[in-house]
Amino acid sequence: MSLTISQARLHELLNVLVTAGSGDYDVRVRLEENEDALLDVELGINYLLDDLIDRRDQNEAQEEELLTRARQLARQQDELVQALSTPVIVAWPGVLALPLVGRIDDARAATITSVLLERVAAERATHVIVDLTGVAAIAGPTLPALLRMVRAIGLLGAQCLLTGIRADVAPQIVALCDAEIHVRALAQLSDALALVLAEKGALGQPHK
Amino acid sequence: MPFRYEELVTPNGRPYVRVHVSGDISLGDAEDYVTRFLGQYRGRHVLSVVASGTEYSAKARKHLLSMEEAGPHATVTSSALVRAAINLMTRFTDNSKYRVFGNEFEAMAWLDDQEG
Repeated sequence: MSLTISQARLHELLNVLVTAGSGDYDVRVRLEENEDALLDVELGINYLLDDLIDRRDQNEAQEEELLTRARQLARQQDELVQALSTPVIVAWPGVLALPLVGRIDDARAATITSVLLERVAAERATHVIVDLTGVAAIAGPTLPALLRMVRAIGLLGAQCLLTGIRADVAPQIVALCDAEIHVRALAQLSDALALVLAEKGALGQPHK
Repeated sequence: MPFRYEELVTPNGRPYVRVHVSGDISLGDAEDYVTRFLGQYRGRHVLSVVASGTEYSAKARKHLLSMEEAGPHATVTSSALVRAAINLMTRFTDNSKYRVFGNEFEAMAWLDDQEG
């Protein structure tokens, strides 16, 4: 079978193929009612371009879905990390304990302060024990932020006790503390709890 | 509606479905077509008369490929473009069941000759 093809149709076909090859699938071969086998090829190329657009749209929809899911997971992870990074425990009625673990930077210090002050007010706490035993490092400008938190707790009428202060952190606290901040420090969280309960006259009494 | 159906009888007394096809065929139209020919018209001979300018969407074309269980299809069209479209759609299907004709007389003769 022989087929005579006009230069114009061949030129058009090649233009469409090159354009599609560059990523533009919206281009189409102009079709006319030609009674020859090349028409099947021209139409076939148009159908192929339809399919490419369909696949591209599907891929974009899947990508958008994955991005939405990733954002959702990241938000859930942030919420979980935030919850775990500020584990405020009611150790006794009116006594809150906050065992801190890991590294504390400015952002985390701000979160801790916000959550803790909210709980102090909500629980009408009289004492807050902040345990630093598990704190690996405190970033340079963060310590003043934590000390400001201690002061703010005092303004809400509660007393703050620090426990588990590491040897390398103690001098920093001394250097930063002024006369207005009264920080009571004890070696262990259990010591602080015993002291507070003794002050409240709760030792030896059943918990009500 | 791009498809219009008629239940008729061939000159030899064989029942068949005549379908008038025109316009733009969407996935919904194709689904309706396939449902009919795999359901109430299953195995029935089909004569489809397709007008010039009829266009099948990409999704419709794919869906129409699921017609393997349908009866013999004779398509009549005067349009080279429609013929090319049907050739492409039926290229990898059982060719003995699909045939495109330029006139209705030949199509009807072929259809009447097919096994029921």
